[in-house]
Order: sequence, then structure tokens, then C-alpha cells
Amino acid sequence: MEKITLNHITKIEGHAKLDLAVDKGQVTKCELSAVEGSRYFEGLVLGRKYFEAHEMTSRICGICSCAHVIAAISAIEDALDYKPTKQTHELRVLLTLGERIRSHATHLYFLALPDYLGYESALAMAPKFKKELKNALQLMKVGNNIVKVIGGRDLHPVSATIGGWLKVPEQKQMQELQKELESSKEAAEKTCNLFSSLQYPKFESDTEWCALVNKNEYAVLKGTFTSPKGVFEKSLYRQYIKEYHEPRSTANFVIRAGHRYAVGALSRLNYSSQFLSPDAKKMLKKSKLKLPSQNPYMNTIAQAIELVHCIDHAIQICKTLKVQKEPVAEIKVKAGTGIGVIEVPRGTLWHEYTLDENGTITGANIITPTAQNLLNIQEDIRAFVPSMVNKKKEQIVVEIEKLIRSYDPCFSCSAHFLEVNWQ
Amino acid sequence: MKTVYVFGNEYLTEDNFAKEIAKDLQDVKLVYCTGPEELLDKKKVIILDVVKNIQEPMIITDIDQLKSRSIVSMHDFDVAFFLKLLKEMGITQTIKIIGIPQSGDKEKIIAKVKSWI
Repeated sequence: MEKITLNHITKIEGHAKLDLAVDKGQVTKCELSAVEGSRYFEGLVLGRKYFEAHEMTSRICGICSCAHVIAAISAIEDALDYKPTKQTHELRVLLTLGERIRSHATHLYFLALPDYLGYESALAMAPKFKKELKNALQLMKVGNNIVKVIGGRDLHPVSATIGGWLKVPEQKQMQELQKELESSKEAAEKTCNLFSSLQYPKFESDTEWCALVNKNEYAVLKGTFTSPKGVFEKSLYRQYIKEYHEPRSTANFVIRAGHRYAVGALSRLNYSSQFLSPDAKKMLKKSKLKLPSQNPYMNTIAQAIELVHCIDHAIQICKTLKVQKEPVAEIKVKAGTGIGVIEVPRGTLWHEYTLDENGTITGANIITPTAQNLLNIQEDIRAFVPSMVNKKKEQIVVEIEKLIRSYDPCFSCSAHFLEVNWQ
Repeated sequence: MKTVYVFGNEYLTEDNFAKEIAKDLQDVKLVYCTGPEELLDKKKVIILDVVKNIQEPMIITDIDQLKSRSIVSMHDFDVAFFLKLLKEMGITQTIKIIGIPQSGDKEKIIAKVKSWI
């Protein structure tokens, strides 16, 4: 039995640990754990008022703060039986699209790409891949600007609130965003071409891909949670999705109807590619990604295709939305439970809150995409490692890292470092 | 008119002094930055930011003097990494970073900063 201990595997979000033991080509132990300090957000919001949840839970993560804001607001509004106006909804979609463009561009170029080009980091590949990294920076910038203009600042947005927006963008700002998005489209298309030109391992995950599906559009904030086995309304999620705790991990594991499942860009494409923008469809057709796909490495190409789609979708909103000043709705506070479920960069995000008659939060539950993917990543590693036992240890570790990174996990919302103890 | 890119978190007392100082600078265009992307495509960059563990203002023109590590997560995408990345990409920028202490005699520091802009 060989032993490898790797203390600092980088380029994932947060802290995680992998314990792996292989004996005569068989994996005898494979345990992936989030070792991030417990966050306690679901406890922190208890006793606070309904209008505080989104501001507090935004702090779960700087990378996907918009996602937590919008999911929390959606859940509270659901508890209060409030339906947002069309403008409010569209601006929320635009905010999350901006965040997704920024997140995908950063993950693709700075965390995933060095693996495929054989570099230790983006810094090391910079002299040779100047044009590619310029595309990355341009995409990150436009995503950031969307978040800044719509959300009020580039992290932890302050403009979105229960019942509407505290501040809406000027039409001129929307036009400027549109122009910037249009000039960034080529960078997104080049990203698709680049990631489609890379060589990906052949691997089929025995997983169930799940995502929000909307019968009219590529789901962002509205849709029904769908798996190959069927669909269920969000109100029933506790019947179908179970969280359980492993003492070794500070993140919960999540299963659907007793089985592991996966969420993310590839899931979304597996279900909703027909709703991609025409140019994103063209990029899909040109790419190596053949749908439906069970290969988690393809999540990387899926994210690149989503970049094109998100830019097109954002352009469409900036072009067509005539922004009006709308007062924030006065919503009657009442007791109730509400669920917000939305698609965010890494997959489906769930927020649930229970309020008492005074609007005080008495219950909260948050399930992040990475928590949903955790068991799946672990089981994919278990299934993948036997095919590599003849490779050098270093190469095996690199391949495991690539597999983990393809899911774009965020262990902060569960890992800055992955520690591999290989026995 | 020269542009000065001001960095720092206004909510952190140990990180907001550059913003304080910038308020009293005249005849310059101030850009308050929350991320490094503002510096993309700029040929000549003057940055005002606080530097830990210095007593007097200083000028940094060699970005290799900046402490940064390879990006290990999205959270590490800071100004130092960004500037080093641009350098490695061969994007020529003339960088002048005016580093000021985290606190100190405001008037003296302003005078020094003005003379360096």
C-alpha cells in the first residue's frame, strides 16, 4: 500500500481534506471532508428580523454574495406571499448573471486552465498566454461592473432588498453595461474555443444531474428542481433532499431520494440547452461537449458556454428593460415559511426561513451547491482512481485535483487547501 | 490632470487612511477602487494605498517588491497579484505606488503625497 501525503493542493475555494487508501488497485478508503471552520449562519439569523437575512447570509461568501442575497430575499418574499414586480425580477436576474460571468471567468482561467496547460498557476502561464488572460480579465471586469451597477457595490450588494430595490440603475448605466457586454462577447466566444480545444479525461460519473428547469427559458431564478427520476416543487424539498452529517466534515452531505447527485453548469446544460442563446448554441455545437453528458470534466466547457449565454441574456435585459423608479413594496408581515431556490454559478442554491407573526426568523436552512456536490465528488474520486493506479503518484494527485476543480467547489461556503492523506 | 487610484476599505480603520488622505488632494482625478480591474488597460498608474509596518510614506515602482502569493483561490485576486500578472503578461505599465502608513500626521503625509504625484 503506497502512501502519499499532500498538504497543499490549491485552486479550489475553501478548505478540504481527502483521505484515500488504495490497496492492490482497489480503493479501500475515500473520504472527502470540508474542514472549513463551522460557519453557523443558520443559527446567526435566528432571532433577527426578516429584512436582515439577506444582508447577513451574503457574508457566507464574497464570491457568490449576490447569490445568497437573492436566494434569501426570494425565500423571505415567499414566506410573506409577495411576488416581485417584473422589473425587480429582471434586475435580480441581471445581478446574478453578472456574478456568474465573473465567477466562471475567474474559475476557468485562474483555477482550471493552469491544470490543462501544465502550469502551476496563471502567473506562470502569463508570458505565453497573454491574449487568453486578457480575455479573462475583460470578462471578470464586465461581470464585476454589472454587480457594481446593479448591486450598488462589487461585493455584498446593498441595493437589493425585500420588496424591490433601494436604488435602481439609470437608463444610461444600463446602456453603458450593454456596450461593455457587447464588446466582451468575443472574449466569451474565444473562451469557449479555448476550453473546447483542451484534452479532457474520459470518465462517466454514475450520478444524477439535477438543476432548476423552466419550461420557457434557461432557468436562473425560477424553475422546478429536476432530476432524471422526476421533479418536485420547492415546498417539498425536505421530503426529497436529505442533509446528513459526517463527524469528520464541517459541511453537511446531501442526498436526493437516497442517492448522490450533482448540480452546476453541466446539469443546467443537460436539461436546458434548448434555451441557450443562439450564439451559445453555436458554441455548444462547435464544442467537444455532447449532451447529455455524464462526464464531470465537461462542467468546465459548460461554464464557458454559459459565459456566452449569460452575456447574451444580460445584453437582452440591458437593451429591453426600461428602468422606472419603483418604490419598495410595503409588505404585510405575517408568520410563515418560505423557500428561495435559484441557480447560481456552482449550481442550485436553497434558502429556507420560517418567520413568526412579528417577522422574526425562527428557523433557517441553507443548502449550497458544493454541499450537494460533496458526496458526488468523493464517489467520483473513488470510481476514477482505480483507472490510474499505474500512473505516478504525482500524476494521480494532479488528476484528482482536476476532477475536484471541474466541479468548481466552494468549500468556503464549504477549501483554500485540499489536504490529501494517501495511505 | 493626473489620475490617482485609491485603494483601501473605508470600514477598516487599519485600511482606510489612503481614502482619508485622498480627500485633501486637489487638482487630481481620484478613482476609488474596490478591485484591481480598474487598472486594466491603463498605461500610467499612480496608486495610493496604505502599507503595513511603515512609519513614513514611501514610493514603490518595482512591483516585485509587493508581497503576494500565487492565486490559490478566487479570494486571493488582489492588487499585488493583478499587477504581477500584468507584468508577466508583458503589458507595459508605469506604476507608481505611493504607500502611506496606516496612521500618522495627516498634514505631513498629504504634503509628501502631493509632492510625489
